[in-house]
Formats: sequence, structure tokens, C-alpha cells
Amino acid sequence: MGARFIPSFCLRRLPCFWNRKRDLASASKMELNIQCEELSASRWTELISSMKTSKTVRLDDCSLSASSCKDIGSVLSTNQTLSELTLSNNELGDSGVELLCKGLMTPSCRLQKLWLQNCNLTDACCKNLSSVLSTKQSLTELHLGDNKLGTSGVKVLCQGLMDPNCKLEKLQLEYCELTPDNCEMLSSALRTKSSLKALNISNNKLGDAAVKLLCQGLMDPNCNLQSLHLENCHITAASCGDLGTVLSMKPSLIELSVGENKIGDPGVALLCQGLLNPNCKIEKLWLWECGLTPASCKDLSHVLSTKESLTEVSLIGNELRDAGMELLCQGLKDPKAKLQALWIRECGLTAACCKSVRSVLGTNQTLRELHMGGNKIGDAGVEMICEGILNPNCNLRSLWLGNSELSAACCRSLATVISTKQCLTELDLSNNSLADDGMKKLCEALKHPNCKLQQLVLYDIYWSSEMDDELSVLEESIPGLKIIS
Amino acid sequence: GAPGLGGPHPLVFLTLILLATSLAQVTPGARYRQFLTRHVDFPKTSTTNDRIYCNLLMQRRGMTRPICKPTNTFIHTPADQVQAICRHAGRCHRQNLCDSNAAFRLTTCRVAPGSHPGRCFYRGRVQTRQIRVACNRLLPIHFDRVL
Repeated sequence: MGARFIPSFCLRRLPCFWNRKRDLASASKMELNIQCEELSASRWTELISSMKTSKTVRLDDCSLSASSCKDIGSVLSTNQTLSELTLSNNELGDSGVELLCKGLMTPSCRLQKLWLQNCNLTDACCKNLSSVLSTKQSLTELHLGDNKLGTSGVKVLCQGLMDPNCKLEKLQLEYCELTPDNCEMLSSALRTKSSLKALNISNNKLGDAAVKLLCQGLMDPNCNLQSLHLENCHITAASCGDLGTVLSMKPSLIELSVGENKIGDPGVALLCQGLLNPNCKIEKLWLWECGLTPASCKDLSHVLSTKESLTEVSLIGNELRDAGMELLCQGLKDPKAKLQALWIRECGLTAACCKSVRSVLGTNQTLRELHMGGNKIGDAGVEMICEGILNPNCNLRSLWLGNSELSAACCRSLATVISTKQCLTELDLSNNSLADDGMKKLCEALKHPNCKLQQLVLYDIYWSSEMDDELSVLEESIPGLKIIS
Repeated sequence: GAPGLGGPHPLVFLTLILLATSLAQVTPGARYRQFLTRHVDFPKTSTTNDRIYCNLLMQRRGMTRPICKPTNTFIHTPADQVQAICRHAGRCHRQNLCDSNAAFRLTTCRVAPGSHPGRCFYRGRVQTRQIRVACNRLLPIHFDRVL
């Protein structure tokens, strides 16, 4: 007991009768995709034979073990069309990976992308993986997160990475127990591997000195890195100057995440200096849980109103408060602001800033996604936001208001938006006590011909059994609408 | 039966029973089963740590598609003890909401900011607390909150 309590609904093919709408992905012969399923011996034999002609194989959390790897290894050595292999969340162990690598090393194997997250790997298997890296020119992506590779393991891996044969584009080593000692080699890799486009070393204890070392590598003319993720790497404002310099000199760097690092207002100020440089072509910037306060918002506002390349910003979990939000809104109203997605969940906002948000929605035409959940904006706040959305200038497609202290009272305004704003395709109202009264108003709006909602997310809202039935019937009757609860 | 005597025809009863059974497919039984799937894991599935616990369980219990469910609490107690909250083991108040008398071992999973549909990552937090559930016909059908 315990481990596999009712796994059957995980299977895309078995019916699950409490899900209102089964999302049956059309199973292409070329694509094998199985998640959380216990595979019997006969089923495994079946799968092995399908794998021999598949282009992509995903066996995530299927209780695979080292012995399964022998079979998969032989598939790898014979199937020349297999380009993507995901075996995450299976206890393959080092011995399993050794067997896989045998298959990977065969000349006919043309694998491009490999995911081995949370496979109980240690430094012992890095030698095998390193050999693959230094031989397989076809391999462009390697994801090894959640494996205790450690300092020594990653050093060995980097050796393979440095080989001229290695054409890796994406490397992900989250939660791999990297240490500052690894950053010298990673820095060298950044200097040499012009093929490397994305590096994710989030959730490893690196610290400022190590990150500064990385920045030196990032600055190299050979470095073409586009995406850098350094979340929860124990960075402070001390390395933000160097990161800012990278931003100001590397137009190739279009995606940066430093989430969950306490860089604070001083850190953001330094980053913004780099961001404002005309050389910087940043598109996605993630600064969630960075310990920012309203004081950061002046600089951020300036970036929002100047950096036309900037399309996505996350500020989740920073105490920006209404004052901070109002400053951001000023920036967003600038005609040069081209932001498409804004994440301001859990920022300590209340109804007070919603007047400014309404104003932005009434002027800004590029904003498509607004994630505002986890703020106590309440019915009053939502009513103002709805007014803004109704403005013809507003092109919002996706609105997330989960856990916002809403009640049935705001459902009239929401209903008007649903039945009027044809561009709105996604709405989240999870974790709000809308009650049957509120839900009824929403249901009426859903029936309206102008409602073009595709996804209505209603997790963790309590309603009666009668309302439950009504929602089921409603969803069945409206093609294209998915109600997720 | 004896047709002709006072009372409804046996066939009426049969029809009513069939109707009730078919209605039951969309009412309390299904919602209770969903409650169990989403909120009860006993004994607690063994994993490396609470973060991996959440990543695996949220996926296994169907809460990562088509979007990542933002928060979810798992209760590590046998189902019958959780059920009992709706009867003698809880204090019930307005709107069918009942607070458990006992504290339960819980793991609350919250979606990590960097998550996207299909790539849901969670943070896990273990605590032992009383809980509030919504009951319908003496069965828990909705997890309201950790108290």
C-alpha cells in the first residue's frame, strides 16, 4: 500500500470518471508517453517493441530500474530515429545509467535530448555520461536535476562538456549538489562552448564568489548563452554588479532568473543599470522571492517603460505593496512598455492598488497575461480590474486571481467580463469562496455566445452537489471549454 | 409483492433505486473518491524529501495536468479516521464545514514560482495540525484549510 494508491487515473487511456473531461492526447505512433504507471512484464515487452520505432519516449515515474535500462540500451543502439528520451523519476541508479550509456555510445544512436531527473544517480555515473558528451555530437540537451552528483561528479561531467565533439545546447543541473568549486570549470565551459544556449544551475549552494567567476565566463566573446537560471544559489547584491555588467554587454542573454536569492533592493538597482543599457535585449526576467520592497519599483518601473524587448516579468513573493504596484503601473502605462506577461502573485497587494491596475488595463494593449493571485484584493479590487479589462484597449487573454479573498459579490463583474471580452481565454478563480450564488452567475455568463473562455480553473472552491452536476452538464454542452476543478 | 394493495407498485421502487444509483455516479460517492485521491496518503509514500514527495504525489494523483494545481494538502491518516471528522470526530458549523478534533500529520504542497503546465515543481511543508473539511452526507468532499 502507500506507493501506488489509485494510479489508474494517471493513465491517459483508462477512464477516470470523476474527471469531467479527459484530455486524451492523440497517441501518435512516433511518440510514447507514459507517466506514473506500474508496468507488468508483458506490458514492458509491448512497450520495448513500440520504442524500437518511436521518435520520442517518455517513461516518467514508471518504477523502472537498472534492469529496464538494458532493454532501453538495446533500443538506443538500434533505433536511429529516437531523438528524445525521458526517464525521470525512476530509480535507475548508476548501474542503470551505465547500461544506458552503452546504448548511447553506439554510432547509430542519434539521441538529441535526454532527461534523467531524480534517477538516484551519484558521481559514479558521471564518467559514463562524460564519455557520451565527448562522443555524441547529436546530443543537444541534458537534464540531470535532483541527482546527488556533487562536486566531483560535476567536474567529471564538465570534462566531457569541454570536448570539441560536444555540441550541447542546454544543460540543467538543478539540485545536483554543485559547489563553488565547480564554477571554475563551468566558467571555462561558457568560454569555450559557443553551442551552449541555456544553463540552469538553480538550487545549488554557489554563493557570490562563484557567480562572479561564472560572469567572467559569460562575458567571453565566444559565449552565446541565451538563458541563465541561478535560482536559490545563495546570491546577494554583491554579485549583482557583475550580473548587471553581463546584461549590459551580452545582447544574446535574453532570459535571466535569479529568483529565491536575497538580492534585495540594492541588488535590483545594480541589475537595472545593466538592463537599461541599449545593448541589453532581455526578454524574460524572473525576480521572484528576491526580498524586494516598494523601493525597487522605481527602477523596475523605468525598465518596464524603456526596455521594449521585455515581454515577461515575475515579481512573485516580494513585499511590493500597493505603493510599489502603483509605481510599476506608471511604467506599464508608457507607450514603449511592451510587456506581455506579468506575475505579481503574493506581493502584499490590496484593493488600493487596483485603481492603478485598472488604469493600466485601460491603456496598455500588449499585456496578455496577468497573474495576481495570493493578494488580498477582495471583491472591491476585482471589480476595478474587471472595469479595466472591459476597456476596448485591453487585450488580456489570461487572468489569474486564485486565493484573492473573493466572494460571490464580485461574480457579477466577472460574469460581465466573461460574457463580453472575447479575447479572454483563460481565467483562474481557485481558492476563493465564491459559493453557489457566485458560481450561478458565472455559469450564466459561460452560456453567452460571446464567451470564448477555453480554460476556467476552479480548484478548491466549495459548492453544492447540485452545482457540481450543473457544471458537469455545462462543460459537456460547451465545446472548447474546459473546467478544471 | 402484492399489487393491488395500498402503496406504490414494486416497479416504482425498482425505478427509484436505479435512478438513485445512477445519480450517485455524479454525486457524493465520486466527490468523496476525489477527496481521497487528492488528500489522503496513508501510509505516507516514502521519498527522498518533502519536495520530491510533492513533485511525485501531485503528479501521481493527477493534479499536474492540464495545469499545476497551486496548493494541495495530503493527510497521512487512514481514510476512516478522516471520514470520522464528519461524524463524531469533528465540530461542524455553518455550510457543512467541520473542524477535526484531532491533529493530523500533513504535507502541504505549494507550486514553485518557476512552474509551468507539464513542468510542475512543488515545495513541501510537513506539519501536524487540525483541519477543516466540507462534509456532504457524512463524507468529506472538500478540503478547506489547515487550522
